[in-house]
Amino acid sequence: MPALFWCVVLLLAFPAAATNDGWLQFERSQHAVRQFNFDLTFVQVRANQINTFRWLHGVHQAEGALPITTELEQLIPQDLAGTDTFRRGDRVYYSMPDSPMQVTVNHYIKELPAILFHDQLEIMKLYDAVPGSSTSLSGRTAQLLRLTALAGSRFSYWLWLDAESGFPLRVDTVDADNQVLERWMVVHLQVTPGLSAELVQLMSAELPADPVMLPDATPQHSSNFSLNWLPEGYRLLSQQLPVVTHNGKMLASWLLSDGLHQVSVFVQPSAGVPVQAYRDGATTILVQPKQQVDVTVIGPLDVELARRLADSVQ
Amino acid sequence: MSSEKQDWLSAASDNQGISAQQLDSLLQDPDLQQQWLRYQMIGSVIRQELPEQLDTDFTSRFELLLEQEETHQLQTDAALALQPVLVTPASGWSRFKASANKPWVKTVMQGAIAASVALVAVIGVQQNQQAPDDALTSPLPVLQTRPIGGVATPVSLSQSTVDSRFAAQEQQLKLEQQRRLQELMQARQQQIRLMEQTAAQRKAAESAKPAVEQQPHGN
Repeated sequence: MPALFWCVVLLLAFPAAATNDGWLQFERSQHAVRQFNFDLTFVQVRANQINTFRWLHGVHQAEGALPITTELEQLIPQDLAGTDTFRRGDRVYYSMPDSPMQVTVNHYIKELPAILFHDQLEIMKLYDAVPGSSTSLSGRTAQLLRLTALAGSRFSYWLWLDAESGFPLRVDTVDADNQVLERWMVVHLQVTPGLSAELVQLMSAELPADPVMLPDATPQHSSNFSLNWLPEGYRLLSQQLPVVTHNGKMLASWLLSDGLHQVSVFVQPSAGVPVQAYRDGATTILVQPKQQVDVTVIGPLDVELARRLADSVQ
Repeated sequence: MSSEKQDWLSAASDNQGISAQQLDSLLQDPDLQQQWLRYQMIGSVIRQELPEQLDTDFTSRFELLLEQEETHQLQTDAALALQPVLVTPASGWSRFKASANKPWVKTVMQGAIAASVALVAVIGVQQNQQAPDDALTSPLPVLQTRPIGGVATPVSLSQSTVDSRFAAQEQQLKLEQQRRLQELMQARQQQIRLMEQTAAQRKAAESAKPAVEQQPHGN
């Protein structure tokens, strides 16, 4: 009888994961980026730019009776002097060349593809996983897994996972017409049994322990602007730090999230520019002038939705 | 045929002397003539002087074949049947039409159709596969987050009119705009980096105090 009870509990706990092979594959790849010790190089391909990064990851096992593990991670830009990023457990450190190190609380590095780290149950609300054919990629056999957006306005993801280990080798962000907007691709991968020397150093490095406490959310001064419409599945996130820019005032700003993606809306005094829309990889940037202000929408939306969102600012 | 006869014949074919009587018998006896030819041929083979045409009976046999061949009488309206070809001797198409029903033409045409279908399929498949890659290299409207020399290309939504007199001013405005957008991109990056911490802090604050309904408003 207890056995039967546990069976029922298990079935209720993982209803979809147990039935869909695609989600099982996806789970395996998410597990791989969290558990493996690896040293890899990936490229990020956008319409007219290619950026190369080295990404180190390892799991440190503390000596002692309790199995305490700490994830260590390092992200190093390879072709430009940018920000070195480290992660130790749930602290992410941003080390910039000419400013003090920034400490944040994050359970993954936000500059890496969120789809690889985000809670699977949240992703399952937005996407359908369909396994595709297998191809040869970087000299390995890769299995295609299509994460197709349930809502047509959201971009889809095509993942190529290493057939042997489940490790993600390539992630394409595609629009509704299956046009590739952004490509993330591993060009070199080395999985090692132990931690690399860099990560051993990082484990014992002296780093500021605690992030700067953000100011309390309560004294947010009211503004004259409001956002009257949200795209389907998105909700408004509270912000505690006012957005600062070097020139020009920020009249209002919002951050929207559907769990996986974020959309930013900014209101600034008008600069006298016409309507403009740009695309940076999978990110759309829309500048929409209104009476005395410019509304800027930045996020992984198509231009039509961004327009509607900008129009809803009053 | 006695061996004696063969001896003198063999000797004669090796350029030995031959009597008048023996010559007479050779001229009269077809068996001997046949034998003579055979000896000559053996000699030729040994001396490696084989003639091109081994079959010495070719002409006589061909004559026989010609005689046995059935004769076909041409039809009286042969001139009529030939007319269309004669009227348009230069047109390759009509010649082709005239021969279109012949089996070899049919075979060739079937082959050509099959080949073109295969070609279209191959090209179509290749283009299909290339389509996603093209999107990465095609000149999409793009924001250069780290501009090296150029500026971002606006998409069709933009209706900026470029007047050459104001080109410099326009350029200045564009750079200004570019800088502004980059600042906003950085601000957005900062928002995302602090997202988790904000949520965690908010949760802690809410558990300490009674929850306050969050309204969408700016800061």
